[in-house]
Amino acid sequence: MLRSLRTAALGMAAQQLNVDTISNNLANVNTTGYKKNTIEFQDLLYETIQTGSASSYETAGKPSEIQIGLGNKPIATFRSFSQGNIEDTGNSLDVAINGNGFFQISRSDGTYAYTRDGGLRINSDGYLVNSSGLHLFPEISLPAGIAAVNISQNGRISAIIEGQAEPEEIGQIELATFINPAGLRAMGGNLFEETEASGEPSYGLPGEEGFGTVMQGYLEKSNVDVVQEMINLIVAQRAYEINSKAVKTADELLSLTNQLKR
Amino acid sequence: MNIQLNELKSVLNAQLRKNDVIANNLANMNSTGFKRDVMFFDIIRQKTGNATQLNLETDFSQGPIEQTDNPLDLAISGKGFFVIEGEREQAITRNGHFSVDSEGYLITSSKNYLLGEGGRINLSLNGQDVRNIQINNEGEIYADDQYLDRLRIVDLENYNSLKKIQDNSFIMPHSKSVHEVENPIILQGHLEGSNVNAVDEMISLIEVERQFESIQKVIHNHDETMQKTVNTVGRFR
Repeated sequence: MLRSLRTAALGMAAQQLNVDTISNNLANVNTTGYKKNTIEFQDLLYETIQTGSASSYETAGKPSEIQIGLGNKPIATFRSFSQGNIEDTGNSLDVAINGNGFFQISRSDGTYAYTRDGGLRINSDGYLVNSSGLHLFPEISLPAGIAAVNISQNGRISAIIEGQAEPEEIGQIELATFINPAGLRAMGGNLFEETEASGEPSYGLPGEEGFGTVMQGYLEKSNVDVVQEMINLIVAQRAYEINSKAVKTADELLSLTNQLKR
Repeated sequence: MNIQLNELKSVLNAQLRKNDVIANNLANMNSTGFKRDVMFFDIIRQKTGNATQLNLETDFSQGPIEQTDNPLDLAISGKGFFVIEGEREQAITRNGHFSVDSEGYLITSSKNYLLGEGGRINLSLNGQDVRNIQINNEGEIYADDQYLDRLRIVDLENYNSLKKIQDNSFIMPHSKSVHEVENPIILQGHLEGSNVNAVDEMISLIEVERQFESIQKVIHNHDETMQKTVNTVGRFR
């Protein structure tokens, strides 16, 4: 009925999405390797209700064209891949990436996923897996009877096997980078999937140019800044409230219109 | 009598339009680089008709600049617009939230290319991944200390002819007043927020509602007068 009623409702819906995004960030403040998400808004189409005429252009020096906007829309969620805090865990199979790059995980359907979560485990077959039990790629199998595992900054994994004096080299961690990591699709379980927007992965070893180094005994925490998120939450809530006032005003105007005829 | 009612009707309609504009401003409180619209009415009646003359102006004042620390977020401090290549035509915008597409080009959130002095801007050197990007105050882009391109920042002498399209941008006018800005001030890692001021808009909302209400009262009075005229004055006793 009234344009403004729908416009304000769109404004409320957008703020609701904003609150959803912020809550998800706050819920994942302690999630290993979580990358915060922000949502971006843009204005919608404009409806021209009065076009500028040539005569008014000449007299007033400008066309008195009237365009009325129809609200806003969320255009993109933008994931920030800035480095999260790196925390000491003391676990020799926890690996954090300091700098660019993702661990590559092979999924059960044969496709690959990418993650910053380096909390690795050894499964019953002796393979290195992530916390959900998916294999790290390239696959690394650990021999039986391991006393200690050492992972160098360049991702070389060596193990000291009981009864042997010299450490034995057993594998190499490879990293993947993307030209546009913000285009990766989040799959849940701290995993990301390559998309058309992210581009194809390029592979390399930790410490090579353009790739970060790996740090054994550390985990990368989320990069969520709680104070910033709380401020965003306040802004979103107030914006929601103000848009609801616009709905109310539109409602009052309609009610007054209704009372025109008694 | 009827003519006066017609005039009042156009005032009511104008208030509804004004309310639409305010609602759009409020909905875009958080849209990056959004510029608010202000509607006002001409008090002097136009010679051509009885309709209230509507006027709409876009307020191009600077929005608040917020720090984001994302290297591809750019804000212009002072005058100027970024130039983007839309689907059909070039457009200009103050929304400096950019990202990189899978081929290494700088794009806006709606997948339009950002333009530099040398056309589209590709951040990947020889197909390599995007590295350390530095954009200085003048808009010169460096990747790993290697000069790539300079951002095109344009400005106009008169903003009145600018036409809004969606996505916080404006159609690039074909007028001669478009010129390159000599010394723009570009802030990397910052974004310009919407210049909608909640207080102003709330006050306007109250104004619209009360003005609407008072016109409604006037219509009521007219109605009563006419009712008296019809039913009382003409009655024989």
